[in-house]
Amino acid sequence: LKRPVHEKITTLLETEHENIKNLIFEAVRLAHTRRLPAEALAIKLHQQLGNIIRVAEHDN
Amino acid sequence: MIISKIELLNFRQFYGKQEISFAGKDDNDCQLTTVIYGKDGTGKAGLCRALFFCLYGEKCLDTDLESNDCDNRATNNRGICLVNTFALKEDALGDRKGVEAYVRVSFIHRGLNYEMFRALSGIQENDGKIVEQMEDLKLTMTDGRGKVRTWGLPEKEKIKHEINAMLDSHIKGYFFFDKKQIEKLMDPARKPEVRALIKKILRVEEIYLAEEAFRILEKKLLDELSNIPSDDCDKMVDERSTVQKLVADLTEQKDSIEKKLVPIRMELQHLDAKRDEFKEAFDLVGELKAKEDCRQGLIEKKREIMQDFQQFMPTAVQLLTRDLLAEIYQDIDDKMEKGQATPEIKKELIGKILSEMTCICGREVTLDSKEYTRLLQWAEGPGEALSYDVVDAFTYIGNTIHFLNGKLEDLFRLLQQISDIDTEYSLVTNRLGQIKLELAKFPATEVLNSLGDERNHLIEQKAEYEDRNNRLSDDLAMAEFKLLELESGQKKKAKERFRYKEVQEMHSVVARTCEVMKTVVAECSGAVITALEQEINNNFQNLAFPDSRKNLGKIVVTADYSIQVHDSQGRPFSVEALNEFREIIAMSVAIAFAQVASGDHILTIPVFVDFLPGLLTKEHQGNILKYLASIAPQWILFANNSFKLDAGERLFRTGRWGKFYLLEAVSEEVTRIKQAPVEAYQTVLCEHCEELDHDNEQRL
Repeated sequence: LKRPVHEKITTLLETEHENIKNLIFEAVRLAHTRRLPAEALAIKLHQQLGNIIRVAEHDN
Repeated sequence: MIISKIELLNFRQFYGKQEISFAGKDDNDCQLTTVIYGKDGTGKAGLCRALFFCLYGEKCLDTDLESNDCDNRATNNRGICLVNTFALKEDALGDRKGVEAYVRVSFIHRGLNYEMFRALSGIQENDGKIVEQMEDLKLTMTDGRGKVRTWGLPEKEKIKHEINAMLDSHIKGYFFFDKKQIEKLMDPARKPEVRALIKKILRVEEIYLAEEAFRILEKKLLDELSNIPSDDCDKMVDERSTVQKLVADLTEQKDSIEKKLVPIRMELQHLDAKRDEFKEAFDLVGELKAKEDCRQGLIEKKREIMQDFQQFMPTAVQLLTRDLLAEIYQDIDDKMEKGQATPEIKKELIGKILSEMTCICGREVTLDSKEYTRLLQWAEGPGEALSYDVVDAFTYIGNTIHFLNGKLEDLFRLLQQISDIDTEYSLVTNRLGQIKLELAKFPATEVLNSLGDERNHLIEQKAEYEDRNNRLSDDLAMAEFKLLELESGQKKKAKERFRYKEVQEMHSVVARTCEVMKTVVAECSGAVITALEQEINNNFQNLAFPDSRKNLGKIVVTADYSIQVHDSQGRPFSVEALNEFREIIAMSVAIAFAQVASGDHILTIPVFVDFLPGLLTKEHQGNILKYLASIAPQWILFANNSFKLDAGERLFRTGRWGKFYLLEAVSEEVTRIKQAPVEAYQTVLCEHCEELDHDNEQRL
């Protein structure tokens, strides 16, 4: 099925950074598949943040 | 998706194996409507249940959940029994092996032929309780070239994912237009519920949820940032640099000492080699020194003994009287034995002692001594009285002799010691002479001594350097330990700094995401509302007659997802006043949900419609039938007695009616599926109308 909301999100995020795109799509995906409350969803996202967001390498 | 066939075995009312082939399976087939006609309770909902059970494993429908008939969609518990109860009773009366039930659905989706199979078994226990359990699951996919792929129970999750990708389980309910659901849409008392439902079905709920989650996440990251110590580690870097210098300095000093120790060790080795060469001489020199020390010791010892001897000399003089006293003692003894002891003898002796003032033992007799007083008493006393004291004198003389014997032994011991020392002295002197003779073969003792001195000096020097080296090693170990500590601390700090920067960056991404989400929520909800509103109004235009809708302006979906009907002046219309429009608006909304959910005006999923004429006029009913046929790829109409001949005629005239099935109740527990030719609809519907009239007459 085509998802008008998803198409809309994709269009809206076209100019955004890859990190933000990934983060929003992952959050929407988790909200849909896991049916978690917001607090639990935030915890889940926090756990996965390192994998979703590519943080630039810092000097030691 | 086009459903081709559904096959049932002992599922709900459908005893034994029965099947329905749906119209519209051929892409070119314009006859895409299947009518399933049956009285209420003959199993129309059972067919929907069979479809959802097969595709999603769900045993309950939304209506069951609302009426609390089951605890959970995936678990069959209170009141919902899927296995045919007639078959269960039959089994219970027989050998009670259990009853097998299954649903097999064949469908086409995006050029692939699917066959989904899900089986369960049930048994009726002695107490009448029915126990059911899932048995098997299989999805077979065949492509256009005949290539077959099959997934079974181990691929349960894959199957779930595949089915959900075709029709999401969350929105499947919106392709089933049942009476309750449609009525709910326009019920003012259920507005909040409908709003939540709209958000959920259009997946806007997930966006709201994600937005809130991001706000929580941003706060979490801020908290984490405040908990990471971000103090400057430059001080630690300076300290590390100082300790590093210290380590280098100590290492240098240690190396310098090691360098100094090298020649010393070599020289010592050289001297030790020489020492080995003159080992005998060194041993002799050592012995010479030892013997000389020994001789000196003997001289000292002899001198001490001679001093003792000199002190013994007065006592030695007394020893001269020992023989005389022995004679006197013997004489007295003899005479005492013979009884000839005379007092005169004693008087003479006492007189002699008193005149010489010296005892027979040589000891001086002093005037103030007790002995002198006693001697005077004896000399002046009568001779008889004195005779009694001869025994005492005899005893005294004996004791004196015993005393002198002891002294004599002391004298002999002293003399023996002197003799022993003289002997040893003589031996040592002889050995010294021999050593000197033997040493004459070797270099001069001075040379050897100098060699020894040099070696001793080197040993001392080596010990000193080694001591310094050890101290430096300790300092170096301490400094290195400190350096390690500092390095570890610095690494920890660096990690913390890295984590701080990482979290800072994550926070900035999440903060930006929160901002973006606001736009996403606003835009998406706006887009969804616009799309929904557009589809509702479009549907309404198609379903309602122009004359009927002239007073109605527009159906509006508000920002909070409420549905309002406005008049031509843009004023909200009372829903209660809408009469027959209420149901046609509800139908427009229901269809619009399915359209927005599937993302297109033309639906991609078959629509199941529970025919409800309610307040609808015949014209409106006809419009619905015609309109659904134009927007759905396939639709299945569940009709009951209210599906009258005229409705049938209107549907038939659309030219889309492809299949016609009758559900005939054999008993309360058994329904038989019977296919009828579409063309025979008039006969069938008339028969049923007559039946209904007969029933009503009987009831009256």
